[in-house]
Order: sequence, then structure tokens, then C-alpha cells
Amino acid sequence: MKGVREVLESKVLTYEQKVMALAKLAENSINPLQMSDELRDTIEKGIICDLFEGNAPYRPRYIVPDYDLFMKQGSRFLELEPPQNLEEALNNLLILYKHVPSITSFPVYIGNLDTLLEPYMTDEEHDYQSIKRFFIHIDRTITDSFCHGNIGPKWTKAGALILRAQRELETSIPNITLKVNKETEDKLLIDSIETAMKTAKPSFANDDIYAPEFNGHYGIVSCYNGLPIGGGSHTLVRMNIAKLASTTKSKKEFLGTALPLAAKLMIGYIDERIRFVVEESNFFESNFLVREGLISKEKFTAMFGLVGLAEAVNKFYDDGSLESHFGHNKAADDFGVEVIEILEKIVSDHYSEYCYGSNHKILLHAQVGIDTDEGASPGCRIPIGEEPDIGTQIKQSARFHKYFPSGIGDVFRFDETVDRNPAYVLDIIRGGFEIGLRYFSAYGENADVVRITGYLVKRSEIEKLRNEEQVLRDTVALGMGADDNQKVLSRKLRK
Amino acid sequence: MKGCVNNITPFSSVDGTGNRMIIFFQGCNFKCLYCHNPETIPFASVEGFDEGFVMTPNEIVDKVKGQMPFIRGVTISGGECTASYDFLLETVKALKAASIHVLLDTNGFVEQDKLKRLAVYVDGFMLDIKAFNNDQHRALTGVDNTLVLESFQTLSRLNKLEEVRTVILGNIVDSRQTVESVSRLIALSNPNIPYKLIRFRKHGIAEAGRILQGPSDSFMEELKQLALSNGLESVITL
Repeated sequence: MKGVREVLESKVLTYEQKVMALAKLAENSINPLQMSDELRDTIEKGIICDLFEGNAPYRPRYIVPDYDLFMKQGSRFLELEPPQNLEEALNNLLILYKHVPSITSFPVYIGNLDTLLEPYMTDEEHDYQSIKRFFIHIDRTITDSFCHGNIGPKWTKAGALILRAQRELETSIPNITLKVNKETEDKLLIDSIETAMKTAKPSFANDDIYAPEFNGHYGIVSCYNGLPIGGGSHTLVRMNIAKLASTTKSKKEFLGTALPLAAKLMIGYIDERIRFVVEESNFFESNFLVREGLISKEKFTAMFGLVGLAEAVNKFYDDGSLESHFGHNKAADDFGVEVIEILEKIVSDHYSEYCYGSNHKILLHAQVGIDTDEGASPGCRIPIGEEPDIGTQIKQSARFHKYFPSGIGDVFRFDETVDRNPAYVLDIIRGGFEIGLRYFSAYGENADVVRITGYLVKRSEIEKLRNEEQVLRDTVALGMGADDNQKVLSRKLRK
Repeated sequence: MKGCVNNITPFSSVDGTGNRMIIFFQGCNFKCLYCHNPETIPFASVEGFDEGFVMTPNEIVDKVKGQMPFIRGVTISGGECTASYDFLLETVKALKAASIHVLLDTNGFVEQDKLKRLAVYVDGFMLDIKAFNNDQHRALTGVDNTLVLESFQTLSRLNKLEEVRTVILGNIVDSRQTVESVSRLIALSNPNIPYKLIRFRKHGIAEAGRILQGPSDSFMEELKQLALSNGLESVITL
């Protein structure tokens, strides 16, 4: 973390990036959270990590406003009437976005855009130009790739225009997910796949799994987090399971002692962070989003993240051959499931007072990693460079998806031959969803916009940063780091 | 009954619309100069076949089922699958009984009665017409094209032509004449049948094919426009 002078004097950071960095330094100048020595030690060892959420969380990490309600009622605080036409609808949304906080200080969820805008569709070409301007505005002002919009699950005129705008603009912001269920039309899926090959978005969420878990009201936010509409997540803390496993000498010690102990410490830390947001920060007592019913404390949950499952498993199963590894060895995969089931039980048995939005249960989350990670693959993913054929990978991955309602997913890079046959990807998505896959991301090998781990970055912007030029979007630095340390742009090419 | 299978590709994006499993039968009745899979040409006996897999039709069905629900069907290719007729017929019967969508990749060199019998169990045929002129066809493949053109007519009447394909060369075969004649044939039958013009590429071919030349970009485009001008709705260059 840079010091104040380093931030002030940077020739690479933009003004906005400096302000946010300075705010983080101020927040971290105090230590109000109650943390045991054992917890601090585990954090010091890199086993537990708060993902730079800050020493004194003064707002929930992920906020998921009820945009449907906002469109119906406008906002007294923002002096906005409910919109009567498309221009007003887009203008109202853009204004509200400026006031939705999160861990990034930008909105991590911008709504189920097609259903929000569909009532205002009139003339196709006129509406297209307006929607295009809307997305240009978002890309140039919400300068962080963890901003996420949703579309679907049914075809709409607005959805078709949104996808068309993505293909034309090729921006890395916002991230977009198409919700897919059995009634989603093939034409919407094909349109989305063709868009994804060009711009790495949308990703695809299995609505048939998510909807029942959240009573039909969920958004896919930030990287790929499933969270309640009108609420969100107080916090996300993660465990580096690979690092934890490396401190143990046997599977028995790992499963029986180390894992439950670390999990308990982490749950305690999660609860403490939530306590501070809810009881001391006064966020819920002061923020207008709460006053106007766009979010409520009763719809918030929290996330127990993990990375490095593959490397943790391989510590106990590696015999020097790829065939012994996670993703290639049934016994190793079964052990991976056993690890997750132990964590799932610990997390499910714990009552978290302020997680009203998930029946007081903290939700497991397959964290997508951070740019500095080494030796720990995101969530439950098979390490880059060891990926099996796509069918095998999806079947292996699907075993884990049911445990992670707040987010898990795999990323696939496709050869350009797929451009001529998008139905190939459609079949794979539908097949994967039928066997329990929760989320699927894809991009074309020739696209400039690529998916890093859960968020999007332009390759051309990474090159600018490598040449020490200033870039608008703060996530480019993360993408560069992820490529340097984890070779994320060298995923297996699928044909 | 058992047959020799050279290879199986579980997922393919280039052998029909959507995701399909591809099964490559061993043995071919052509010896095309530009063959990219010359190891599939020799016929083999099931005894001692170790260049691939010896399988029964039911084992093939199980293999296909193992990739459901990811694939929308199977494409049987080769070699030339119709050259292993008895094994192929039993296989497609078994696949159809399991309600699996079947496409066949074929050079069309098969007796028409046999073709019609296969067509009962097959959803579509992807037919290669390698040259329209018989002498050029023989020079390229070692075989006459009479049966091939008859197969076109049969499959066309049965409405079982999934697509027609021609590899475009710069020499040996008059590709312009082939595209002109084949595209007219397709247009007369059903102009919606896709016609794929596949650019010859030297990479991976056997020694005999080294004399072949590929087409220029402009020639490929010229042939595409020629086929379209003859009334075809879908002409794809690869």
C-alpha cells in the first residue's frame, strides 16, 4: 500500500484514483475492530485476508439497490421524479449510480437493465443512440470493472439494443450477466454469445439455480456475486486454503484441526466487520438509500470466500504427474468436495446475527483471486495450464457450484472458429446448466476486452500501463498484475 | 458386431451446427491427394487393430450418451464411414433407437440402395463433391465421381442434404468449373442448402499432396460470388 506522499506525487494515478487512495489511507490510520492475536497472526500468515476492505468499514462492501423501486418512485433526496420516457430513465439511473457506494466507491450493481428500460422503448434507432450514450457515460465515469449490470432471462427489445451497443463500443465497463433459464430464447443466447466472443460479456448465470435461492430477487454483482436485491453483502473475507494446507503435515491434520480452526477465526472476523458496519458506522442510520427503501438492513448477508482449493488438494495428492492432480484425479476431486462440505457445514451451523438476508447464514463464495496471488487459483478452479478438455472441466467444476450461492464460475477462452458456430457455445452452456453449473464466462481469443478472473479489462489498456502511461480505469492495474502473476491471459484455448 | 474407430472427438464446433461428438471410422475408399488424415485411409481388421478403438454400436451409443447434455448429436466421419457399411448401419440404427441426432460426413461413394437405407436412420448428410469433371476427380481421388453425383441427387430428393462441401485448389482440379456446376445443382435442388468452400491448406498433408497449390484470397471470393450468383442462399468460405 502506497504512502500519502507517494500517492500525491504519482504521475500515473488519475486525480480520482488519488482521492480514493488517500481515503483508504485515512481509513486505515485507525484500528477500531476487535481482533484476537490468533486472528492477527493468521492474517499475517496470509491465510485470512480482508481483500483491502479497510480497517474501519463505513459502508457494506456490496450494495444492491432495488432499481425497480427507484424507477417507480424516483428519489426525494435526489429530487428526481419517476421517469416518463427513456431519456429521463437513463438520466435518473446515471444520477443514482453516482450515489451508490461500495468497496470500490463505485456501484457494483447497476440493475437488470433490459427490464428496467423495456417500458420506455419507442423508436429502435433513436433508443439505440440513447442506450449507446448511456453506456459510454458509464464507461467513462464508473472507472472500475466491478460495476455489473444484468439482462434477461427473456428476450426484450432493450436487451437486444444493449447487446448491440456492447459489440459496437467494446468497453470493459460495465460487466454484464445474462440470466438464463429454461425459457430463455435461443435467439437471446446466440446474440449474447456472439457479443461475448467480441467483448467478453455477457457472462451467463443459471437462473434456475439462483432464483429459488433468493426468492426470485437477486442480482449478479461485482465479479459474479449472487446477492439479494435491495440489500447486498456487509463484507467479504477470504481464506487462502492453499496456504493453510501448506502449514499442515497430513490430510487428517488439515481437515480435522487446521481447517475448522481457521474457519472459526474467519467467521468471528466476518461477524466483527459486520458489527462495525451495522453498530458503529451509522451507515444504515444515515444513508438515503436506506431511508427511501432502496436497500434495507434486513436484506443483507455476508460472504465467506476461499481461494486455492486446487493447490491445497494437490499438496496431498501430487505424485509428480498431472494425472494425480485436482481436475484429473477423481480421488483428488472427491477430497476437494470433502473440504468444501466441511466448510459448508461450519458456515451453515453458525448463526450470524445481522445476515437477515440469508436467514442468518454467511454464504460461501469462490473468490476470484487478487492480482498479487501466487500459488492459489481462484475459488475451486483448476489451475491455468492444467485445464482438461472443456467437457471434463465443466463436469468437474459443476460438482462444486451448488455450495456457492454468492458466486462461483469458470472462464473459457474460445478460438475464432467458434465465431461461425455460436450454437456450439450455446450447447455447452445449456448442458453445463443442466448438470448444475451455476455460472459460465467466455471470450474470444482475438477480443481486446478480456475477462481477467471475474472482471473485464482491455488488453490494449494493459499494454499502456506496462508502458507507464496513465489509464482511466483503476482495474487495469489489477489485470496487469493478474496476468504477470497468474498468466490469466494464457488460459487453454477451446476450439 | 464390431468395427474399427480411428478416433473420437468429444466436442466439436466444426462438424455441424452446435456442439457435436465426432467419430472417425477407420478406412477410406478414396485416396485424395490432399487428405489431412492419411492414417485413416487403410482398412483394418478388428483383430489386432491398435491404431484406435475396436467398438460395438452399443459402445458408441454409450460414448455419445456420456457427453449428453453437452452435445446436440454425433457426426460420423472417417476415413469414409459408408465404406464400413454394415458396421455403420448397425451404429446409426442404435443411435436412432437412443433418439440421438446423427449427421454423416461422406464422400458419397456408396450404392444408392445402401444410401437410402442409411438415410432412414440419419438426420443429415454432409457431402463432399471434390471435382465435377470426372477425369479431374480421378486424378485427385483415384476414383470416378459418378456415384458421388448420384448420391447428391438421392440425398437431395430425400431432403437429407445438411450441406455440400468442396475443397478449393489452385491446380489439378478446375475449381471454378466445379463450383459453377455444383452450385447450379444445389440451386436446382434447394438453394437453402449451405455450400462450404474450403481453402486447401498444405499443413499436415501426405507427400503425394505436395504438388497441390492453394487458392488466393481473391479466387476464394470470386468463387463465393459465383456460387451466390447461381442462386444459393448460403455460401461459406473457410
